[in-house]
This record gives sequence, C-alpha cells and structure tokens, in this order.
Amino acid sequence: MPTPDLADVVQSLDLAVFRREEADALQLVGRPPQWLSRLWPQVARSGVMESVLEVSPYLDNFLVDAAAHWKSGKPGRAYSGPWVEQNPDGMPVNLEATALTVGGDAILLLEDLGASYDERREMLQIAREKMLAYERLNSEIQRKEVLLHCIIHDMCSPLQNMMMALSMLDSEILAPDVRGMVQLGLQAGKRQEVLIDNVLHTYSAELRSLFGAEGGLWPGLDICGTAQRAVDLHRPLFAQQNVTLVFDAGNVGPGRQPVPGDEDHLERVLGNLLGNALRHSPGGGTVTLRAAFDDEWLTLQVEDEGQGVAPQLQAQLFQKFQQGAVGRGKVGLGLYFCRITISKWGGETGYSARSGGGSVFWLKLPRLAQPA
Amino acid sequence: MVTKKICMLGSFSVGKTSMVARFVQSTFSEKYLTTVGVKVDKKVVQVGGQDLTLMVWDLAGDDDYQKLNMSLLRGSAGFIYVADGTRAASLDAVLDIDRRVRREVGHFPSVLALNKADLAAQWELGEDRLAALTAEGWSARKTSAKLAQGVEETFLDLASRLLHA
Ligand SMILES: Nc1nc2c(ncn2[C@@H]2O[C@H](COP(=O)(O)OP(=O)(O)OP(=O)(O)O)[C@@H](O)[C@H]2O)c(=O)[nH]1
Ligand SMILES: [Mg+2]
Repeated sequence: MPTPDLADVVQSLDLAVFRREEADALQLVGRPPQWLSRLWPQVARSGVMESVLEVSPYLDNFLVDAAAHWKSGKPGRAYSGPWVEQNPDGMPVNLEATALTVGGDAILLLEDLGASYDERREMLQIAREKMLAYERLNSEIQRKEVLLHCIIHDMCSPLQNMMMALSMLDSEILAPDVRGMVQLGLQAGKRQEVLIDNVLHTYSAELRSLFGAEGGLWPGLDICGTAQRAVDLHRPLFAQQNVTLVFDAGNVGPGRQPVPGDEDHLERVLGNLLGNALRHSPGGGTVTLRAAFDDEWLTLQVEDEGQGVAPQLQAQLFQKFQQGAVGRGKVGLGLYFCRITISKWGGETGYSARSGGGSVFWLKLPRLAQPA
Repeated sequence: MVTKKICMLGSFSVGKTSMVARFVQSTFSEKYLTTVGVKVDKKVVQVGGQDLTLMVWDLAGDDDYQKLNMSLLRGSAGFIYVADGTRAASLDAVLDIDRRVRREVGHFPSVLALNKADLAAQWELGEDRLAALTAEGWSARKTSAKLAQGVEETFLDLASRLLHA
C-alpha cells in the first residue's frame, strides 16, 4: 500500500501549520487551508506572519506560552484555548492554536474549530441557562417567604393588640350585655388566630415554627451545634477568599439551651450574617462568631475586620426596602429576614462598630424561664 | 498611537459582551449567547485631548465550568469588572476574581460596572453596598448596556486611569 503524502494528510485536516522562525516570525508550512486564505489573505499569500501582534493579539499572547513550551523541550502540546477572529466580510471564525515540537522544530497548528466550537458553546449555554433559572427560582422563593412573613406580621400584631385590649376589658366589671359583646370580640379574634395559623400551615410548615412552638413550649436550641453547622457550611467559601472563620462558644455549653426559636431558621440567620461579614472582609482578615449567655439573654454576634458601616447607613441596615437602582428595588432581604425571624422569637438584632475597625452584627434571644 | 489592552472580567451572563457591543458597535441584543473563548475588539477614545486605542478583551465568564485563565491577562493595562445588579451573588463572584487577579497577576487600574441597572424591580444591590464599594476605593457605577447608560463612562473612566497610571 502506498504511504499517504503527509501534505495531503495535513490538508485534509484543514490545519494551518506554521514553523516558528529565528526572527520570531511564523512561517507557513505547506499549502494554506481555504479558511486561512479567507481570514488572513495576506498571510496565506506571502506564507509568513511577520507581526503576529498586528494580525492577532490573541495569538501573539499565546506565543509567549508556546515559546515556554518549545523551550522546555517537554513532550506534549500547549493549547491556546478557543478565540474568535473576524473574516474581512465580518463573519466570525473560531480558532484554536496548538504548540508542539516536531523533530526539533517549533510548530504551531491553527485550527478552525467550526462545528465542534458550536457544540461546546451549546453545552455551556445550556448549563448556564439552567444555573440562571435555578438562581432566579431560589431568590423568588426567598422573596415570597419574606413577603409572607411581612403579611403575617402585619396581620398578627394589631390582632394581638386587639385581643389584649378585649381581655383587659373582660376582666373589668361590665354590664352583662357589654360583656357579651366583649366576649364575642374575643371569640372572633381567636378564630382569626386559627385562620392565620391555617394559612401558615398551608403555605409553609417550615414557616410555622417562626410563630410559636408546637404546643406552646419551646424545646430549646442546641446553640453550639447550630452555630457549628453554619460555620462548617461557610468554611470553604471563607477559605477560598483567605478569610479566617472562628467560632467562639464562650460560656455557652453543648446541647439544648433555654431559648426560643428553631435550629433551621437560626442556622439561616447565622448564615446570612456570616455571608455578610465575608463580603465586607479584607483578604487575610478574621471573622468571629461569638456566643455568650448572661442572666437574661443569649447573645450571638458576628464580628468582621472590614470598613464598618457609615453612621448614616446604620439605621437602614435591617430594613425591608432600600433605594435600588432606579426607583425602589427590593434589597437587603438577608438582614431583614434576620430581624423578623429574631423578633418573632422575642429577640433583638442590631449593629455596633467593632473597636479597632470593622462591624459587629448581633442578635439576642431571651433566656426562657423554664429550663428546656 | 498608544494602544492599551484591557480585559472584561466577571461571572457568566453579567453583560460583559453586551457592554463591549454597546461601547464598540452601539448595539444591544436581548438574547443571551454565552462567550466561549476570547474576542478582541478595538476602539479609539479621546482622553485628555489625546487619542488612545483601547484593545478590549472580552473573556468568557468565570464559573465552575470554565475557570479564568490568568495567562490571558498578560500585558493588560487595566480591567473592567462587571457584576449583574440583579444577582447579588455575581458581585461576590467578581470581587473574588479581583482578589485572585491581584494575587496572581498584580494590581492594575480597575473600574467596576454594576450592570442591568434598567431592571430596577429585580435590583439586589442596596445603596449601602455601592457606598461600601466606593469606600473601599472602587470606582463603581451602575450601568445599563441596554439603555446605553454608564457604559461609555465606564470605559472612559478606565482609559483616563490608564493614562495617569
Ligand atoms: N436588561 C438588561 N439586560 C442586559 C444588560 N446587559 C446584558 N443584558 C442581558 O444579559 C444577558 C447576558 O449578557 P452577555 O453580555 O452575554 O453577558 P456575558 O457577561 O458576556 O456572559 P458570558 O459570556 O456568558 O460570560 C443577555 O441576555 C443580555 O441581553 C443590561 O444592561 N440590561
Ligand atoms: Mg460574553
């Protein structure tokens, strides 16, 4: 069988083959493929690429990596990764360059990626569109959850005030017909509470825990365990940005502590605060999650070594809405979520400046009278 | 004439390609076509009464599928960092890229574009966030490649920083 002509093989691969010359120019080897004649007619005609930078800044940049590869004498190849040039008629051409050494010669292959490029792009496109859809769905869910919190909150507090006022009235000496009306009001209020509870039950079993313990008693929270979970979840992100994450349990022991709330939501609250701190931390800095118990309160605080928050902005930190780009946008839901969650449990949230620079975001939960 | 290489950096789908298209061709497309690889465009700008050619490298978005190749940044004079204001996570991502670039390539003049500012209802970055970025020394502004707002300013801001660098 006759040996195939090497030039024919190269031609059928549709590759442009160049040899790196002493003078740093690229010398075309063999016949130029058609796509090269269309893309760079001058190079195809003269058979040499003199000033690579002028022809293709991308290729010029790759020649630095290629030169390192040629010089290393290592086997294998160096790849440029894909890039796009434009034909004189404006059509895009997707190229990739490969550097390799053949018989002591520094060889550069140029390939028109054609359809294989489109396939690669299509795959990435699908992956990214899925990711975008997932992100959108997630933030929509969070928005809805916050909205539901707001509505419930707005419905509950006036109702509680009304019930309190009616109960006080009920304990006064009243004419029988007046008492009848007061009790009617109290019954209606109780019904309303049940309705709200049903709404919560229907829309999110998870949310219910925010508005009171099952059966009226809080089971207590494993503070150290929950904090540790939040910390563990964030550790890779912190490591990636070279920020140290420290959990200091202080005088809070392991196991359940007598405070209200549920662990899932507390973990998310802490996660929000840690994410916040990370965003504002300089590389090499430290973020500390600190816990402490006193007679009345359990305090959890997240300290960072960032710039701190300007005094005029501090008041807005935990607010629902802040001024967005143009007009009003919904932003800062993270801290708002923290505030409404903690306040539902009878606690407080706040900001203070850290001595020595940086921020302290804190939350306090009341110590429950009965031990959990 | 002086030519300066600048690179568009940021997470995927934040509008890097759209900003370049707006700046160089004055066009915008709603359709998302993710960039694979690199496209280099050139545009002459005037800064301080001086002509300057910006060689703009539009890079593929950085994510888990495609990591930023630092050798593409070689020879850059400055960077345009782009985040999508409707996706707060894309700002964290671009700040992370900035940290990596500073660690591996060095410190260069940079500006930050918070893009898609026309999408006010979905906007996720509070004024406090912008104020904090400015306080950290960022030249950051809201942009809209769609409405041609802040795009030219972003490129010209970087161009004048390059001249004074
Ligand atoms: N509303 C609005 N949409 C924009 C704006 N800029 C870009 N987009 C849209 O956002 C999507 C992504 O834009 P691209 O410019 O392709 O983003 P990219 O950063 O180059 O993305 P990758 O190449 O995948 O990294 C497209 O659908 C654009 O139409 C803007 O200012 N406003
Ligand atoms: Mg792109």
